[in-house]
Amino acid sequence: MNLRGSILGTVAANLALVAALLWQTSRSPAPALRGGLSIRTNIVTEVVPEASPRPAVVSVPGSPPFHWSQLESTNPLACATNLLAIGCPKETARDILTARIADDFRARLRELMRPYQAQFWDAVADERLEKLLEGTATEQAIKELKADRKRVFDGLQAVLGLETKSGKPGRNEQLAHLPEDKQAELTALDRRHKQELEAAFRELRPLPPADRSAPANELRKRQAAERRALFTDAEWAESELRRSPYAAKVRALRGHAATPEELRALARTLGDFDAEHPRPTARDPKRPDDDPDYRPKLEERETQRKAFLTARLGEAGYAAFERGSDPRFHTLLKLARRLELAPISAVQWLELQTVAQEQARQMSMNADLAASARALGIAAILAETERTLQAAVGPRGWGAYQRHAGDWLKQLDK
Amino acid sequence: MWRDIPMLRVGVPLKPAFQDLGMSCSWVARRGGWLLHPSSSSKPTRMRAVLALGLSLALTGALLAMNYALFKSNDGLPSLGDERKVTVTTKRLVRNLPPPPAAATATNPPPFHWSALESPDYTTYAANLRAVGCPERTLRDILLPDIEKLYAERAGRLADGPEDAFWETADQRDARRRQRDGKLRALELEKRALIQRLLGTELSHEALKEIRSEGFASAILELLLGFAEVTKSDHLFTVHQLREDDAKALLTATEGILLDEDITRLQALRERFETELARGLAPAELEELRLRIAALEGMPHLTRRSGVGVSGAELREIARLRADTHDVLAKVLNLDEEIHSEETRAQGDAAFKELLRRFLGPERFADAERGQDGLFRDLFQSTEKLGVAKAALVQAYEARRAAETQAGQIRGDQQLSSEERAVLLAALRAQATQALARSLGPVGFSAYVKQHGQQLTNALSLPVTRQQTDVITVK
Repeated sequence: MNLRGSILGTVAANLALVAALLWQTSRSPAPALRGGLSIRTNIVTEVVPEASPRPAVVSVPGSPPFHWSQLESTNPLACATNLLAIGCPKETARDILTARIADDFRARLRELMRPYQAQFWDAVADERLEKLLEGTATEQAIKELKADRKRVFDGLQAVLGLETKSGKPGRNEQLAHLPEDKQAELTALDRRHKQELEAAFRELRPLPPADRSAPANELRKRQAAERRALFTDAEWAESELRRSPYAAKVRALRGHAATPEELRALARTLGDFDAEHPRPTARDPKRPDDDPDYRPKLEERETQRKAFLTARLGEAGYAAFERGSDPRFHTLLKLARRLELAPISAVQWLELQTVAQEQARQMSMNADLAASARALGIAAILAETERTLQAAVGPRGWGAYQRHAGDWLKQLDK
Repeated sequence: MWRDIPMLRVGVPLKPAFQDLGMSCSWVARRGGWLLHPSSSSKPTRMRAVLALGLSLALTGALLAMNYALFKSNDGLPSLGDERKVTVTTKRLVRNLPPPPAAATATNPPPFHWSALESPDYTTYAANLRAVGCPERTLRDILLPDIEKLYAERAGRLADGPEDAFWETADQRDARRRQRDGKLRALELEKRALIQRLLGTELSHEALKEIRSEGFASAILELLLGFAEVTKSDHLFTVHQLREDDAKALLTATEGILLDEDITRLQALRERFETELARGLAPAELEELRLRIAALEGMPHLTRRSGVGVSGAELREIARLRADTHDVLAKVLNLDEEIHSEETRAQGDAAFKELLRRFLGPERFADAERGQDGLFRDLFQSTEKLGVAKAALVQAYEARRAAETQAGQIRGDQQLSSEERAVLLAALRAQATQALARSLGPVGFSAYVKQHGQQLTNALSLPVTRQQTDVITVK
């Protein structure tokens, strides 16, 4: 083997050794782990069979997932801004923050009042509960606290706006017969008239009373004409009827089944009678009892009224009308309804009462009897009436009858 | 890693060595490998070749040693030095919940928006809010007003009746109202059930709103309820509001006609109120509440301003006597007259009076009796800072009371004409005025007349009559 061949042989061997060295370094572990510590990590996956406390499974969007704490701030305005920034409706933000501010205010107020708690009973005994804080530093602190609350609320309002009150305007029953657009027109007109009147009275106030009435009356007359012009004749007649005391009377009836047309007709009938038979007036309206003719005139008019209404309504109709206006009957009707009895039961109970009261009245006025005999007679009427009524009303309703409709029984023998 | 072994920095130490061996060793980077080009040989060259062979052999030896050392350091051989072996076991809890929806696993999720929380279904809405960590109190403040608005809208729709219901009798209107009330009540109960289901407890938005209103947040109220924490006050108000609403609904349904069975139901409602209060308040707090209600509701005459010398501690004891003889919780629900008969209430009054007499003793009890009379309170309060003796005050009161009684008799005497009554009353006024001046002294009398002179004159005169001019005159 020549020298050149030996050299080439050793070079080849060196190259092979270098290659072997490279191969070994590539498969050796990291030097950091070759020191004094070796860590082995076992990851154990445990599946928790957790019963979800909430029915819904929620995935929280956002990256990283959103958390409520991202919105929180001790400054309500900052909190409001954060809420609005994620699209929270103003109304909801207002609900959250007004509650929070109010709660915070209450907590601070309670803290300010804590030292006074021990004085509560002495303050009540001295009737100075409301004056307990007068002139104290606490009074000033509370004022500042209130001002602070207002400031915060105002700031919040600037960001979130005012709370909108929803709700429809109340319906005016007296105008319900008119088309809707006319009702709206009338409502607007009435509002304008009110404002005009207020303005006029402000202007007239400095004038002497004698000088005020003419321009005020003139204004009222003009307004009435303007209002009237909005109605047709038929609408106006209906409106006037609805405003009359006769409408109020028929609307207050109970136990009186009737259609709207029948009620309207009844109101007109009552109006017709009053138009034909004006109510008598006493010579001195303030002392009607001093006028000997007044009471007979009233009684005569009552007889005429009965005849008039009976002619229009019939016997039964008139009786139902009279009963329907009687407050005693109203209570009995309600009791019958509560006991799930027909209205006729209330009619019977009222008849029993009327008869007993009339009998007792006659007995007490019977001059032929001695006082003791009269008392005995009334006691007998009372006992008999109670027995009959109790049977008629029944055990379920008797207690209620005595509580709500039975005062007359206590008065019968007095 | 391997770069850290100094001898293996590729190329750098080898290149000069090959040059020293007389070989043209060129780096041909473009081929990415080694190319050797040997030069021609000669005698001096032979010497160099022998040297190169020696060096090459030495290099071979060094490379063999390095290979051996590296082989030993690998896993086939023990490590160098002491090694601490630590095994860490990490437990990862995985909730057994359904897999998240596809949207949640999107690779590029959109920014968070409130609409992701909202849902037409309140259960989902509440769950979403809880899932993002919304505190329960805030959750309550979001859900309650929202639910309230929803049900108010529904109630508003119910309230609409026929277009023109003017020509109806009271019966017909009442029947319509009863029907509507029944539906409104059903809605209210539905709302309460929803709140209970969502928030786990009965709550009243109305009560919370009232407590939080500016007018309600007064120092007096905080003082009155300051014996309990704020959250307990909230509980108290909520329970009161709910049970009071229940009572009102029940009374409305009865149309004011209480059957025996209604009274039993109202009594049960009152018992429920007490039980619920007791659930939120400690026994001592509930007792304090009863006493404070009793003191502020039914004993205005038992104060120092009414001429009765009681301390705060004594007043508290008197309040206990009253609370023991009266149903103060029924009173705060406005049910006292409904669930307790007139006789029972009269018995309670009589029992309290007797207990009070024993507690105060005869003299102070007499003060308390007088303190109930507005006439005495007027006299006492108008002269209390003027040093009028108690005996003089009592004397003045008796004269004033006697004059009042006589005036009533004169006015009610039908045998007398108006003129005669006027004359007699004028004489009585003069007599009473003298008696009061004598008892109270000039300073005391003057103070009394300044505050109550007109009242004295009116009380001892003929009744006022209303003229057409709307001017009130005293005859």
